[in-house]
Amino acid sequence: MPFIDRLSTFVGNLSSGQITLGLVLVSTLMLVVEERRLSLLPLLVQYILVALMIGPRIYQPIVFVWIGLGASICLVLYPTARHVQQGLRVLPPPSREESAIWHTQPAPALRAITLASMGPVFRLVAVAAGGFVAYGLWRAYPMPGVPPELTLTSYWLMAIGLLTTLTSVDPLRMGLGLLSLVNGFEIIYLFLEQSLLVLTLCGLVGIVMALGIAASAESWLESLQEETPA
Amino acid sequence: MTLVILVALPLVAALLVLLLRGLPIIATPLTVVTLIALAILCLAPQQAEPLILFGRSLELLPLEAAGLAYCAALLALVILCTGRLSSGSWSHSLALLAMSFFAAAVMVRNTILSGFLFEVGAVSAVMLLASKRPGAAMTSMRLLILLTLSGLLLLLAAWALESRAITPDDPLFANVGTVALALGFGIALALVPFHVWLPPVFHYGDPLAAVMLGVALSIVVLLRLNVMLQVSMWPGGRENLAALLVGSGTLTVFLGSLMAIPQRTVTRALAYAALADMGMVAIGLGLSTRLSFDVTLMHIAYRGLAILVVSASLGILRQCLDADDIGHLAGAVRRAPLAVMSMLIGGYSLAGMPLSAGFASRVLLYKAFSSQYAPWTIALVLCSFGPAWAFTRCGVAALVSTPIPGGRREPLLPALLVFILALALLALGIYPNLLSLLPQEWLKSLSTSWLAWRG
Repeated sequence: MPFIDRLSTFVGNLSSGQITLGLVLVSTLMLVVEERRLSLLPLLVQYILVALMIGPRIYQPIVFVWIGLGASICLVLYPTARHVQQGLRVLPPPSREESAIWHTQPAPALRAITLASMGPVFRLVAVAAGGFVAYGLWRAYPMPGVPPELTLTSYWLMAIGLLTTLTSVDPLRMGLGLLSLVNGFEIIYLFLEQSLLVLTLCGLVGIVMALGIAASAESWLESLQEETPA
Repeated sequence: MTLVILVALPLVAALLVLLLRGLPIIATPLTVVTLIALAILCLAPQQAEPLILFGRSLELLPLEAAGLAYCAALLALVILCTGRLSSGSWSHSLALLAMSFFAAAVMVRNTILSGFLFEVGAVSAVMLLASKRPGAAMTSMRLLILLTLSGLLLLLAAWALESRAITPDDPLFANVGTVALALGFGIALALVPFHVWLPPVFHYGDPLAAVMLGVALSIVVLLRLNVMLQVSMWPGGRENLAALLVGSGTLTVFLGSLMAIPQRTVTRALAYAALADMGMVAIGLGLSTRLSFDVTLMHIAYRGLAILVVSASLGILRQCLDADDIGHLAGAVRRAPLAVMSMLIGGYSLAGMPLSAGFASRVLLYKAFSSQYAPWTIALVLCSFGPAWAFTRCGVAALVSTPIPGGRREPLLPALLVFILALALLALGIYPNLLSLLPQEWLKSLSTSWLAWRG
């Protein structure tokens, strides 16, 4: 398997700076990409890069545990992402006449989607704002005893995760933001509390959260389908 | 060994109920029996022995055991009363799963592990809200976000407090600990200004979700706060904690009561009455006297029962009338007389009206409050009338004699059970000494568990 060998060599040789840059790129992609199934890919890559960043500093086998966790979370979320994406595609968009007359406004959830579709430019501006916040926090509040690149990555993921959550109106995208936020928090926390039990519980929290996000997203789609006039 | 069973029993039952969810005739009794068994086991004397598991200490103080037992009993009662009204086939499994993790979170003395376990339990409990009712899914997602943030803040606080114990001279850890603890517990207890999530829980959730997230969650959070205060002192000092609790509690009472006045649905009246009552709990804890702690304990118990009674009657009313606004409530007393009466009794108890259980505990809290903050006492007493007005308005609408087409009447057995619980609230209000029938030694042991709050 020369491809896998080359890939593992490439991944193993990544420096902290390159991993941080990769995390910046994938979290930006997650915020910008509109397609729900595709935005799971940046989430998976995010887990892989976080694993590569924290593994060598804590305990090497954590890399595999964390990648496995990311894959499990994406596997839990993928059917929901596909379902939501397909479900939203068949829903009729609100017509111009409907939104012009106040008493025949489209259903609240559809109205929310219309308001939130601000386009990639808005999302890129949001990423830039998140970046500035993360950089400002990193300069103002460096974590004692934690490597600076780890702190910056953590703050970045938390800022972008929070922004994704705040600028999204459907539970799935909000959930992806929440998972990024938790991922960012856990980078620092696992470094500070190096215990296998804490690692296991972090994984359990991630899986249960993914289930919660999937349940909310599926219920949201069902309610939307019921709200929409046939 | 009993401590392990307390966690394992609901976990195993959750899996069984999940497998049997297609057979509610088996799954519902199994859930109820498990919860009752959990309540009995919590109060068993054997559980008093601490346990070391994987090098971690597990312990259940009498107060914690009583809190868990009470939560399990309330959940069993709400399932008994409204088993058929649950919005999803997963709800019973989720309730058991949440109870299992809450039990583990309360038992584990390590605050970091306890934080993670609480987080898992809270996320499981939040899933109870997700249903296809418009608005419920978004509410569940928002609550998931808020409780996750609260959990992360509490984990941060736990780390900061542990680090402060190692380097007491570094002010960073004390500052981070204070802010993270105040924000984390403020969000989880729904105290003003972090109260935004509580009213939608009552609005969109079924009775089981309302009791789990409106009562059980807050009891577990208070028990965790008690554990954290036993392990380490509040970073800003006891006075700082007391001032925070009294301040945010008073604001919560004022806001909840004011917001209750214009409400025209039972759900919203319940939501804001429960919010205002949570403020009374915070005030009681903040007053920091032995009497106020004991009365707060009693108040928490009455609050839980009142919320159960109103939520369960609300579930029955929704089933009979399809909605619970004043328009739909007209003539409800003809179809659901027991549910209407239970709703009124429970609502008045939550508001703290005379002759109800809530009044018995509130009077003592007002007395303790007046000894420290006399000028504010009258305003606090007047706040009772906001939720009471909202429930009276709904009650009057229900009592109007209007013939309603259709023949859906209240289900007799669940309505009767809810009415008996409502009568218990009335009996405790009229004759508060009924509590003296409980074993005095046990009550005394609960009281001493609060000592951690006073140092």
